[in-house]
Parts: sequence; structure tokens; C-alpha cells
Amino acid sequence: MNDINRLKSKLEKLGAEESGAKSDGHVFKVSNLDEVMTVMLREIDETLLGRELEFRNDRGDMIGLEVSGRRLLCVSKVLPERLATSFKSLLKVATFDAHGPEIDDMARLLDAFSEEATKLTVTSHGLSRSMGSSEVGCSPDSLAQAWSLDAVETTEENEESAVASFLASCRDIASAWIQLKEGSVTRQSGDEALIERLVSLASDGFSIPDIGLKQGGNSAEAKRCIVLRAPSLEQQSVLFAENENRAALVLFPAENLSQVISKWHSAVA
Amino acid sequence: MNISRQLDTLLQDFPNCETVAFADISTGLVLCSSARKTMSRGQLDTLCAAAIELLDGKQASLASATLDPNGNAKVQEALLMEDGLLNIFVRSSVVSTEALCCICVPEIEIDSFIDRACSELANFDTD
Repeated sequence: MNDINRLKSKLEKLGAEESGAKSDGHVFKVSNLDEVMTVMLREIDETLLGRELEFRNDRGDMIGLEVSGRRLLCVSKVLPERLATSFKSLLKVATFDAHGPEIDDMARLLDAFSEEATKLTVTSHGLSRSMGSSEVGCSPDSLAQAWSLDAVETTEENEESAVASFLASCRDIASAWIQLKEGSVTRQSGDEALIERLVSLASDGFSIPDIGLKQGGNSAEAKRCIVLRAPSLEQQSVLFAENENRAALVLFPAENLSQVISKWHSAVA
Repeated sequence: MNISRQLDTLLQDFPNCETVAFADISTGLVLCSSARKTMSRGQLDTLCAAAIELLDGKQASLASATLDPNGNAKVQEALLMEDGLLNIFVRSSVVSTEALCCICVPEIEIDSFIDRACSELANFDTD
């Protein structure tokens, strides 16, 4: 077995050992096809290990995608049956090809899926099958190009920001988060009511106080975060992280504290 | 066991904890401390001031209102991570003006350290 296959096999095992399907998922507000596509591409872009991502709209329609290594492998399921029947050719495609006809069919499927949708819920779970070594799939960049989408912020771009890569790594352990750039919310994920609380907290000026622990003052390049916990029924903690002109506010279950700190530590390492 | 010895034991049991100080955050006074490297009075005062800001300051009030919109619970624990160090501040559940201010490295077992800090604080007031 060559190195790539060995690594792939290890990643598959890691994926299989991850926790099961997220019970609630991340919720996104959407109002048109472009926004649905953008959410989908971001989710693909943030998925390294083999996962099945399920996208549900507020009408109950669902699209399941098999994703690995930040690439879309195939459409695994579509609900309701009516929609699945109309796009049955897509469900038979073993692996997407960036230049294949399935890209246009996928756009039509998403068009039907997006109609009157206002909310998109994304859940994920480990792939139940092993991936073949020839499964390359399709990158979010190729999909964005084929669908004439712009302004899709990819992980490659995000990697410049410790805040963005931290948020990407927190997707399964945070209840809700918002990302801020120069004070404006640029991305958000999670329970809507919690997101509203975070937006309100940001607009109230929540930040890391200048408490003088850092030698040499606080520079704009500083990568730092604070976590505060107060007793409450919801047992949540709040985190504020910042680096350069980006910041993040995250609400997470208090029991995930050590994981969250570890993720930030890795992101700024 | 006196407080000073309890702080020494805490430091011994958690090698990734560099400094631990017992403070009265209503007056801003460090009452007792234990550290692997000598800390000046000024450094301890700064650590205590950070505890006051994070546990009782404006950001703490905003965080409390977000975490518990219907209540008025005070922030019990605060962590600040910067420059490869993790500062952990834990308020006493018995006397709300008392706190432990700790400087640790991020690899510390956070959950067990905070649990231990909470029980030490409770012991200070019952011993």
C-alpha cells in the first residue's frame, strides 16, 4: 500500500471513530440559490475526513453528500422521493468529476431544493463505506467556478487567519459562533437564538480587556482569547478570540472547555 | 493544612501550573502565592487586577447576561490565553470575593485543575 492509501485508510478510520450524527446541526439563514450553494461549498471545504453531510431545508427536503478531503465525492441521497426521481441520474454517479455533466444537474437539483427555502440545517456523520483510492471528487473551487459563484471564502484563504481555522475546527463542539471582521459579522453558525445573543454581545462591545498581563503591550498581531463561564441552566461558556482584524465569539457546552482551548492552541501554534 | 501549603501542594500536583495566587478581589490584594519562578509584588498585583477585570468587570457583566439572560449569576471562571500561556481565574463558590489566580501552560488538564482549584477554595473557608 502506498503512503497516500495508508493515510487515506487512517483518515477513514478516524472519520469512522468520530461521534455519530450531530443531533441538532448547524442552521443557516438562506434566501436564494446562491446562498444555499455558498453554504454547501463552505461545508464541503471544511470537511477533511470522510463524512456524509446532510442539508435540510425548512420544507423538509434533504440532500446528502459524501465528502472527503474537502472534495465532493457524490450525492448519496435526496428526499423527498419526487425530487429523488427527478434527479435519479445524479444518485447513480459514483464520483463527481469537475468537468462532468453532473455539475449542471447538481445546480438544477439545488435550484429546486432552494425554492422558498429560508433555513438550511447541516448535520454530518461518518461515512459508512470505505472510499476507493481512485475517488478524487470535485473541489469547492471547481464547483463555484462551474456555478459562476463568487465570494466563496475557502479554507485556503481562511488558513491565513487563526480565527477562521479555529472556527472550522470547532464545528462539532460549539453550540453557536459568529466570525467578525473589523467589527462586522461575516459568518455565523449554530442555533439561531444563540447566534442572536452573540450578535448582541458583539454590538455591546464585548472584547478582551487590556489587563496588562502581556509584556510589551497588546499588538494587533496578538493571538489571544478569553473564556468566561457563569452558572446557568444551559451550562454554556462564552469565548472571544481575536487575531489581527478578525475575531470570533463562540458559545459552547461547558463540558467542552478543554477541547475548545486545545483547538485554539492548535490554531495559533 | 495552611493556605500557603495548600497552594504549594496544588503546584506540585499540576506540573503545568507555574504560579498560583490566592486573592481578595474586592480589595485587589494577593493574600498568598506559590510559584516556580519568583514573582514580584507588581506582577502578582497585575495578575490580581486581571482577575478583577475578568470576574467582576464590564466584560464579565456582558458575558453573564449572555450566558444567563434571566439570571444574575456572576462569572465563576475565566481563562485568558495569550503568548503561549493560559491564565486561569477561579472564584470561590463560598466567598465570592475570593479567587485563585493561576498562570499555567495550555497543556494543563484544565477540567481537573479547575475542579481542584474550586475544592481548594472551598477548603480555605472551612478549614
